[in-house]
Amino acid sequence: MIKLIKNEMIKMFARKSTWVMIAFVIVLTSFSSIVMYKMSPEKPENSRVFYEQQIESSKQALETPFLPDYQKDELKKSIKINEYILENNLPMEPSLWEQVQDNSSLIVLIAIFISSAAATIVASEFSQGTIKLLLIRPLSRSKVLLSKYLAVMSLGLIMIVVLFIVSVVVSGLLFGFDGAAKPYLYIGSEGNVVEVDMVYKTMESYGLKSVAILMYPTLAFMLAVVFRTNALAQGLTIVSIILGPQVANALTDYSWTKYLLFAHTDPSLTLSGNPFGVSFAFSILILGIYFVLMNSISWYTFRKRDIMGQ
Amino acid sequence: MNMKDGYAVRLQNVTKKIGNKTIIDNLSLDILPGEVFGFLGPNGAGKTTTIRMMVGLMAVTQGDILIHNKSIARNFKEAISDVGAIVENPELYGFMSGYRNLEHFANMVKGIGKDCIMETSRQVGLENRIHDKVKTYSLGMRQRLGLAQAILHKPSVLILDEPSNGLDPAGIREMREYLRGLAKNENTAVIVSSHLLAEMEMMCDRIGVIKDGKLIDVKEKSEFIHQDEGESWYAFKTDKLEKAEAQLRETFPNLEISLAGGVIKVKAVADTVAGINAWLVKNGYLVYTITQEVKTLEDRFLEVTGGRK
Repeated sequence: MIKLIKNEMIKMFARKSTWVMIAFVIVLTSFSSIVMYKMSPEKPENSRVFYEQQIESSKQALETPFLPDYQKDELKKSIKINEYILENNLPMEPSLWEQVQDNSSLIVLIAIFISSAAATIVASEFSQGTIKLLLIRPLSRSKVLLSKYLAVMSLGLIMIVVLFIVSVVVSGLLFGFDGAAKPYLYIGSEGNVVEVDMVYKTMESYGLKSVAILMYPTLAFMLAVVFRTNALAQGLTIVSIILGPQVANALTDYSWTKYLLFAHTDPSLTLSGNPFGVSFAFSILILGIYFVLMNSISWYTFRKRDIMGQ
Repeated sequence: MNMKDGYAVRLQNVTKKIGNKTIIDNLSLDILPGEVFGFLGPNGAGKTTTIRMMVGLMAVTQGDILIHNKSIARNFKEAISDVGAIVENPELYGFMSGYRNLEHFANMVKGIGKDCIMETSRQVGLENRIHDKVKTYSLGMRQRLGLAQAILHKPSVLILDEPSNGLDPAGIREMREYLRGLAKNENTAVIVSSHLLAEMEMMCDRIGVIKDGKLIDVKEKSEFIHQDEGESWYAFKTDKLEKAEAQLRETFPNLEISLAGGVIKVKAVADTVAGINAWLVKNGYLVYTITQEVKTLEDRFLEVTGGRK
């Protein structure tokens, strides 16, 4: 099995697109840290003024007519958090871990890349015709498919590690490696400000957001097995990644939306109160069901398929 | 032919249906170790479908396919271990070198080392280019690499779809000699399909004709080509052609005689031909040549498959 996964990894890394994706993650992560650095106040003594200005501008924004409720909520939350920082004299300079935790939002990008790789690793064998040589070896089709799946997931893991390391190194160089004291703040369910250790929060963010890297490539993988065309599998998955959560959010009024995959791909939202009003455990259950369902379809289809001419 | 191993490949009443269309209809066939067997048939007759079922790429709807008594459907892993194959074109990974391609397939079987990969690439005559990317290969080189991946694990059943496709005449001859050698020396059952009919004549011990999903004829090669017994067409090249033909018609009223393309064509058995010759000479005609028109596999092919309109 190790040899099979190695085979798939070799094929994956023989493609230029894989390297381009990794380079993209590195560049974008560095860029994100650098932008944040440029936006933060230059001198530490200006930090207090900076936060006061932020509160002021948020308050002004609240006055804007016809502001949607959820944006109002966001603004109110940010005012509350900024006031809390000022009142409690918390460290104000942006810190290494704050930035690293912030960069976890780039995991969505990795999800797109890995979905593309997942579609390619299956569909390309069909389009090249190599599937015929692959499936006449003394191995079960399930095993061949599993090696591909595990290779793709390993690439996902590699990219997350790259994202994390680049984040730590670049942010550390910019903000210094000694700023871990600042806590992560959010508004709890009772409307109070909650403090969490930033390093803990960072790990949690990376862990939970990685759910997207598990779910979307699994979707792309399934679509590639069923349709055998790269474009369709990639296209549908990327549309799902970008539009899915938005559609789910837009339709929160309907109770069935809480059963959609897209309502759960970022389970960290359920921890800080999500729009669907479901528990964390419910999210995990729904994700589990989708995960098993999608993989069952992939494996069943792949095992049964007659390999015909193009 | 070594019979003690029994059959190498046995197709038992194999039927393939897609939807309610029957692609392969109740096909039964035994292929022996050490023989080169050819599948012959027009496009769409079901050759490739049969081959795809033999290697487990397509499921059999009814019946069974046994490789050394192991069912490809129920015992896939054991059955396929004995098989090496190229199905349709030898499509390999263009973005990797030939060596990497072979290594890739070697990794999928137990116990094939680097030396075995190099030895195989020498066997197919690719050792000089084995580290180049496959996308730089000519079709003939891809065919050689395709053969290399098929024989890497020294299978006792070798199935090749159109093996001489893309090879130059020297390459075709080399391939043919190699395959015949494998059958003779290693007792490998070699199964080929080809549309190059002359090639099949030279390569195969037996030929099976498939038409509309049915195996309509299996013949030994000799039986297939030469029809020594009975009549065949002979072409006489003589002087004074028209006069000779007219006189022949009078003298031998029971024979089919015609004048075409500068020769007199006569349908007769060998003894009669000798008689005709004697008669022509006695009557003062100069006989330059007498040629027997041997039915080629192609004629036979077109005849049995109804391709000649």
